[in-house]
Amino acid sequence: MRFLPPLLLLAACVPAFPQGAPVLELTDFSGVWAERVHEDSYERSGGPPLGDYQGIPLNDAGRRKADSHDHSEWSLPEFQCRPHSAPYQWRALGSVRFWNEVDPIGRDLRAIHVEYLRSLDRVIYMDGRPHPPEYAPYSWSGFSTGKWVGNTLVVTTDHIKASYLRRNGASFSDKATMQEFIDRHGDYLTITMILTDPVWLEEPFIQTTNYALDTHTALTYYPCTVSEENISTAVPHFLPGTTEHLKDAAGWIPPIAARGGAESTYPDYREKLKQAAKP
Amino acid sequence: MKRLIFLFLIAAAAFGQDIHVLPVQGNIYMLVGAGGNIAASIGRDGILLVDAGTSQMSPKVLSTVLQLVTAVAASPGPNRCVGLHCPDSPYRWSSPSLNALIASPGPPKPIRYIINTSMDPDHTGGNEALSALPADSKILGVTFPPVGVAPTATVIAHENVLGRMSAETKGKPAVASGLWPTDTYRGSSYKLSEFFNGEGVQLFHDPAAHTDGDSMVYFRYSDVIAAGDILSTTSYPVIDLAKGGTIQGALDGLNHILDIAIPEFRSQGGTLVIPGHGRLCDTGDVANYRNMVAIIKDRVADSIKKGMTLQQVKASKPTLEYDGLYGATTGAWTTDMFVEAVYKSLSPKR
Repeated sequence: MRFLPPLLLLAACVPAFPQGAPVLELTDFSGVWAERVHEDSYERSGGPPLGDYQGIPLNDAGRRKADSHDHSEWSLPEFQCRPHSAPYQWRALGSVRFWNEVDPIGRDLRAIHVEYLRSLDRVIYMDGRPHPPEYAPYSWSGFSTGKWVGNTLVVTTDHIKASYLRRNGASFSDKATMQEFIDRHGDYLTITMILTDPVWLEEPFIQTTNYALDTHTALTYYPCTVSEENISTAVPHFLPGTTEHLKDAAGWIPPIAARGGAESTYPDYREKLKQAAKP
Repeated sequence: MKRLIFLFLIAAAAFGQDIHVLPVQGNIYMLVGAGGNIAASIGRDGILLVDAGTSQMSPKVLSTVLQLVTAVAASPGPNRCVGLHCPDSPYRWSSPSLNALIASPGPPKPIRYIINTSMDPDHTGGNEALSALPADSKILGVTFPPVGVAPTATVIAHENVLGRMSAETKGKPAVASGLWPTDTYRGSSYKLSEFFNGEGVQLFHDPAAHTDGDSMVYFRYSDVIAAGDILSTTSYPVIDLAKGGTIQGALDGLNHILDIAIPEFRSQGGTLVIPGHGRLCDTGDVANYRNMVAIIKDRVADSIKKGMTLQQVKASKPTLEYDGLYGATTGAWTTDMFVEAVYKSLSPKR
């Protein structure tokens, strides 16, 4: 038969799902993925130099926030077990595990869970639920919903607790919202993050991070215990103008670049640096 | 039961009520939109409110909490006590007991307690209207208060609240007597003398924080703290110097919350904290807010030590990075007013 009658052709195109069309999951991210650490690797193991905000579009308020940062704040009992937040997490050390939460009867994808070695389970709801109202609680992972755009998972997150964007005090506020585009290319994963913060950033912070599928790794137990040694009753911070360690970053990159800001994130900023370097 | 509550919440939203209800944890619900936030314990013993909102919002608060207690504690529900699942109650599924469960439950109890966290009108304005129900109140077809139940609620606050509300100027009290607390305590803490809705309720006095009469309320089973104006996610702490507030007291109050609260995991969840204004919080949120207060206090204290005037301190913008979160240039509590209050609170008394 060289030509199908039109009705038969139509019937052939209609899937046999009497209960309705299935929810298509276009890309499966399930499994453990290992970080590649080739992006900004210097700041991802030992941590970034204090006072180095290059590449972060901080505004004046964000810069003041970062400058007042004293790393001793990690001694605060409430912060000792503070996990990485969702915006920072992709660049943290340790693997990440994706797994799908699927309705066992309807087979629809309720949520995609993302678990990190040193952080909390992060849930990306795929069932169309709305985001919570403003007065609902915030979390380190935030509240995420996802949708498919082609093969890309587009995730929208809000209700994120204020936390660090870089481990030297550069921070985002709890008014920040985040959009992520998660793409799988075979055994590689690319996450493109766009973080918008009207309080401490003058432009959205955009960052991509790559992972590789790792079939021989499992996330391990990662406990945290608060230590009560040498705890001061004060909150550690530097008063404006007293942050000595700002010179540390300036020792190896041009001082004006270390201060961050939107313009420092664009290629033509190199020209400004060249001009600044001229005697 | 959860489905009933859900349906109630949907219905409330559909009818455009200005009071939003957030189920929090255990017995506790957070009511948003009545002025200050209201924490409500809802259950078989009735209603306990921490704060009463503004007087203008009282009708809506009353309607909301009575509908809520009806949905939670007095609505028909399926019998869950069947066979092996109900070994200790042989009569439970026999009529008329069954009907009392699935068709005709007893009426809900009314508001039994109101606890004021401070004397501010957005926390005490509803005291009078909410503590005395009209005799023929009918909500969802149910008459309030039920037969044999006293129609008035006990209003509890620290005695400094009563002292300031009843203080006379030219023979007139600062606040009409109908809004005064009926019971007060004077120590550092106070416990309700009996469980309410199955749990202990404890009040803590935080002296010299927002005012000198601040209380926070701890629901010990639900593990929820109603912090009053010691905590706000929408503004800098309101330091009412004229009523005994201080910046150090505000900081101490926040540390007090952190002393009581236990996070479930990694500074998150566990003890939940209802602020006087703003969103529901936990340890991580309170710590972030406490840090902000401590940092600004230290900056202003350092400026005072250097001999800077109030105007110079304001010009130095000690709150710069936090203004986008908590600052205001208009309204009842501006950034300028906050900095001034901190400055005066820390300046040596002359």
